[in-house]
Amino acid sequence: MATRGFRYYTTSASKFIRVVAAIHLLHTYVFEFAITGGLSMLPTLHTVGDHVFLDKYNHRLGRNIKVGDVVVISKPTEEHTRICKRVAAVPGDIVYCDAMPKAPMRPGLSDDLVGLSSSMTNVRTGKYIKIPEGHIWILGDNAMASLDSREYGPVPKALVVGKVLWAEYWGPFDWLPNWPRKVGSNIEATDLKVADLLPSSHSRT
Amino acid sequence: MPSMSSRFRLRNASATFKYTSKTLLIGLSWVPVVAYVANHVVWIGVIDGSSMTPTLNPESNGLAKDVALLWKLNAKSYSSYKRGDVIVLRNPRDPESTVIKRIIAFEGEEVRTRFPYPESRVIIPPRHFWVEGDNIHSIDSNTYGPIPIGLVTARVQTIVFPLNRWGSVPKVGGRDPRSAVVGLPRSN
Repeated sequence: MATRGFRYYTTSASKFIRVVAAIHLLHTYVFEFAITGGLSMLPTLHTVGDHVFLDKYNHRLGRNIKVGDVVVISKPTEEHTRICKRVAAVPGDIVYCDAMPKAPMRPGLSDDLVGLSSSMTNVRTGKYIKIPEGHIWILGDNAMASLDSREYGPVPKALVVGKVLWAEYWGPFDWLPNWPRKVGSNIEATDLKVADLLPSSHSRT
Repeated sequence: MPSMSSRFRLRNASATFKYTSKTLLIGLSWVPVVAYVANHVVWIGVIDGSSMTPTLNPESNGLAKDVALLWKLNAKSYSSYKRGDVIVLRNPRDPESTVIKRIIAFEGEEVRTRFPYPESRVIIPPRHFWVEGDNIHSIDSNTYGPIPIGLVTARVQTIVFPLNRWGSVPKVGGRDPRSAVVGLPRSN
């Protein structure tokens, strides 16, 4: 009986890389399924477990983006990370950048909930800003716990990865324990208290 | 006899058609692989414009444009860049086009800006670059500010055409980083 020779493996390998490359092309330029997480888009998106469909073909690089679209962009201040926010203004619009208080930076507190020092990102709070050409202003639906254009400033449209068309909530997977669960224990909670989100004596620098 | 020869021609035509279409489909199936290499490994590009004169597209070229290798491996990795690297990035003012500039400053550094930037000093935000063209008339960070790593597409390290300028792109050119960045040590 003939064993699988060299030719079989090279043919299989060539088929494999062609399929993988085609899928990669599809994922990068046409559409993608992604899972979102975090507090910044409540109540539109859940804190965990929302599976979204990203339309890349029509909306990569900020093409055909309108005010009100929920978009996924590459995070300006971190590499290989993406964030999901809503478009609040397009080029030519004028926005008022508010100085909404956020929790002061503390170790262990998730990124969504703290404010970057605005001097680092050169955005003027409490001022009117005109969106330059090629940029958009993004805002999280849960403005109180969202890191968005109030910290980053107007974001270049080229950072837009795609537009979220729909979301399906598929709750987080959980092994059932041998005893009844505590009420609410299957929803992942941050260790956040109300006092954390009230304006504190720290002023935002 | 005409019927026999016409039947022979038909069979041949069908065989040729099948062979051509099969070869075409196999050829097409390799296009995504080439596209992957072009977008994530290395590709070749013609350089337009004079914002990097005289490093790229110098006057001595006449009407000819430089052709360079665009290295896309690790293009989105912030720590892999050194001061003086020439990079290709998406134009912040027009996402459909790309521009080529040189990296002058990194995150956390303070830059003495040039006209027409509104402030004289600026601190670069996390994961952003300050880029400038070697030509003093270029439209660069002095116009649109620091650029995030997400906009960077490729590195330009090698010129392949014209042949008399074949070789690596010089690591210095444009404004001296020591005069642009506040607090830069002499040795850099």
